[in-house]
Amino acid sequence: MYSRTINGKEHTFGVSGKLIMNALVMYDHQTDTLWSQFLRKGVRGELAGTELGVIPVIQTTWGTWKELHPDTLVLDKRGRYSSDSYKGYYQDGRAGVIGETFSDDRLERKAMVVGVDIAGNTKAYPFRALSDNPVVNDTVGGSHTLVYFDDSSGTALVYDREVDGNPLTFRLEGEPNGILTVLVDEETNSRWMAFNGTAIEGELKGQTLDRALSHLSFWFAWKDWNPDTELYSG
Amino acid sequence: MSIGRIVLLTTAGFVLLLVFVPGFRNGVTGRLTSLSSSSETITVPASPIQGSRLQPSSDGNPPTSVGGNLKLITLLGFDAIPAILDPEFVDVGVADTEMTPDELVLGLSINGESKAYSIPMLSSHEIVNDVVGGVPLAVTW
Repeated sequence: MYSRTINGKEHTFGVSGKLIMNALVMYDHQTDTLWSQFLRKGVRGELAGTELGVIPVIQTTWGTWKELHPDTLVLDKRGRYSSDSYKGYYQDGRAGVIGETFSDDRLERKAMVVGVDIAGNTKAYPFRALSDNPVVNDTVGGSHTLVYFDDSSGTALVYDREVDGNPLTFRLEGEPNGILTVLVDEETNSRWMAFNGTAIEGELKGQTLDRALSHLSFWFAWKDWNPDTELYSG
Repeated sequence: MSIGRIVLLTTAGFVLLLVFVPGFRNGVTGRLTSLSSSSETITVPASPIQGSRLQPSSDGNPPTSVGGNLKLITLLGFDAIPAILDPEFVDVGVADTEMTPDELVLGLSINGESKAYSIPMLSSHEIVNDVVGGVPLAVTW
């Protein structure tokens, strides 16, 4: 998600009806600048070249989210939108309106991945590989990253696994257990809640891992935007 | 995921072409590439790469490596898909009557305030302009 504060001023966004590489192009009502969702910046108009601030979001199921945040507010559906207008698109083999720019047979195009972007260094983790290995300690662009995947809700979370400058190595404690899943770090044996990255017991109790910039995507879209991406293979 | 909207855009664009462009109507082949006739190339400056630390903060200024010439395709007019400017919210009790546990949502939690946005609903609006925990933000799909 994106901050609407740009150069210190609040802006509002609308849908431009335009696409860049099959992805949303927004415009802001204050300056009519066009903004690319994937590029995270202005592409035409007064604010072209200006970057949007990114705010970490979780994609998960309603059941999991309300367990995590019982006090959550929910955008009012007013009885509408019972099914997703893109449902067929998610399931078929098409690659957007213009097709894919780069063909790449490392993975089928509609495979779901979580893509990580560390200072322009990108790596994609297919959901299928993560369901076999739900905790991945990795290094992307020289930074130590942790990918946690909850198979039951399709939730992928990416963290910076450095605390006070020291990388930690995580493993599952027991079996995955939805939002109650606990991770343990090998360095201090502290126990961490996988879903919010907070240590609940041990030397590092109270510490919270930072979220890393990540994006859920179809494989074809991710590698169109990031042709140099690495691909995690398990 | 954000490209999921394409079906709706494609369908709407297709209908517009069928209605307004006789040549298209007569020669419909179903090839989606026909739609890209209304495209232009724009040059986007590549952003400087930031430091190597991960950048998750709400004021983060994430790096990007994509720049150069990009094709901008026009499928629909401005606001043909209506962004939400005045979102209204309900609590868990009401939401439970409208959503099943396996419905996908985007969730945000900032400064102690949590909000969830149904993905089927986001598919119909693409953008929700909101304020969460005092932070003005746009939820996009």
